[in-house]
Amino acid sequence: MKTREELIQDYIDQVLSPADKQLFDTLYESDTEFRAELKLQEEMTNLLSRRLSSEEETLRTNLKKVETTYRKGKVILWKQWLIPLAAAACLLIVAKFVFFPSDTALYELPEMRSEIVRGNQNNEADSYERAVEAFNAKDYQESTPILLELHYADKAILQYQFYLGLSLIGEKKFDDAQKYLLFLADGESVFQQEASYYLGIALMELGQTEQAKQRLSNIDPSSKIYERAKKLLDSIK
Amino acid sequence: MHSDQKYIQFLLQNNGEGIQHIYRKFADKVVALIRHNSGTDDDGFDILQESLVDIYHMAKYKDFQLTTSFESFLLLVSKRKWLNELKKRKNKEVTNVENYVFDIEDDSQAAYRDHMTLVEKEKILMELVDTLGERCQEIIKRCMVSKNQEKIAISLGLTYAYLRKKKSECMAKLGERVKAHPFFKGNREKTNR
Repeated sequence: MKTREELIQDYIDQVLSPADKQLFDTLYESDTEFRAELKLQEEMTNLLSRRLSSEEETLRTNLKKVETTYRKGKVILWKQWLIPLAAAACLLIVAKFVFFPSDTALYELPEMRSEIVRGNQNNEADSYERAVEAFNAKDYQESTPILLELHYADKAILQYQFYLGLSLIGEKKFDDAQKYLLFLADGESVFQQEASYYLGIALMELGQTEQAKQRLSNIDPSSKIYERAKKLLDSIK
Repeated sequence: MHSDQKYIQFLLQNNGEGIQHIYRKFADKVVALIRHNSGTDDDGFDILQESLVDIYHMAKYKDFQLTTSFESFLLLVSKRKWLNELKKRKNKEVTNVENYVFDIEDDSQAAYRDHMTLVEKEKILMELVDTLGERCQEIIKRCMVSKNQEKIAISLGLTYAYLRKKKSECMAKLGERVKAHPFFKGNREKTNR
C-alpha cells in the first residue's frame, strides 16, 4: 500500500493507478491535513518547475560577463584620464610658479649682498660677511645675532638694520622684525620701499591686516618691489 | 504596454547588447543607492545582478505588467533586496541607511507585490532544496525539469519504483522544511487570518 506522500506525488505527476485513485479520493474528501499537504506540494512543484526550467544560469553568465566588461571599462576610462590629468596638474603647478608666484614666493627674503672689498678687511667686515653667508643659507638663527651686534655697534649704517629686520622675519619673530623695519619704512633711505613691504608681511603675520594693507598700498609704483606688493595686497583682499 | 518593456524583453531573451544597455543606463544608479546605504561597490553590483535575475523571473509570469519606468522598478527591487541583505547581516552594525530604504511600502511596490513575493518564494524554495541530501537534490531537480521519469531512473541507476518512492520522500522532507521556514510560516498565518 502506498504512503500518503506517494499518493500525492503520483497524483501530481498524473501516474495514479485506478486503485490508488480511490484511496486518494477518500483521503482528499475526509482529511483536511491531506488536502493542505496536497496544496503545498502542488505549489512547490509549480514553483520548482518554473524556476528549474528557466534559463537563469545562462542569464547569470551573461550578466556576469557584462558586469566585468562594464566595470573594467570604468577602470580603463578612469585610467585613460589619469595621465592627461597628471600632465595638466604638472602644467598648472609650473604655470602657478611661473606666472602666479605663490604666497611663499611673495614671502621670500632677498639675497643679502656681500660687501667684500679686497684689502679692506677688518672685524666688522668679517662679521658682516659671516652674516651674509648665514642669511643667504637661510640660517637666520646664526645671522640675527651677528646683525644685531653690527647694528648696535653702528646704528647709522641702515643696511645692518634692514637685514636685521629681514633676518628676524626669517626666524618668524615678526614682532621684533617690525620694530627694526618701522624706522626704515617711515624714513627716507634707499631701504624705505623694501622695508615697507617686509613690514607689511610682518604686520600681516601679526594679524594686523589693515595696517599691513596700508603699508603695502603706500609702496611707490616706481619701486622694484611694487609688483610683489600689489600681488600680496591682492591675495589678502 | 509601457515603453520600458524593451528592457524586460532584453532580460527574457538574454540579449547581450540589451543587457549592456541596461548596465550603461542603470548600473551606476543602483550602485550609488547601495553605496549610500552602508554598502560597497561590490555589494551594489551583486544586488544589481540579483535584482535583474528576479525581474527576469517575475517577467516570466504571463500576467506580469510593467506599470512604472524600468528604472523605478529596478530601484524598487534593489532596495528590497538590499534591505533583506542588511537584515541578514545582523552581526554587522549598519549605519547611515536612508529611511526610505526601509519605508518601501509605496504604490509602486503594491503593483508588483505579488510577483515579488512569488519570486522570493521560489528563491527560498531553491535554497531549501539545497539543504537536502545530494541524492534528493538530484532527484527533485531532474524530475521538475523532465516528465520522463523512467528515463531519469535509468540515468540515475535506479528502478522506476524506487525513484517514485524516493521522490515522494524527498518532496515530503522539503515540504516539512518549507512549513518550518519563517517566510512561508508568516505568509500562511497572514492567509489564514
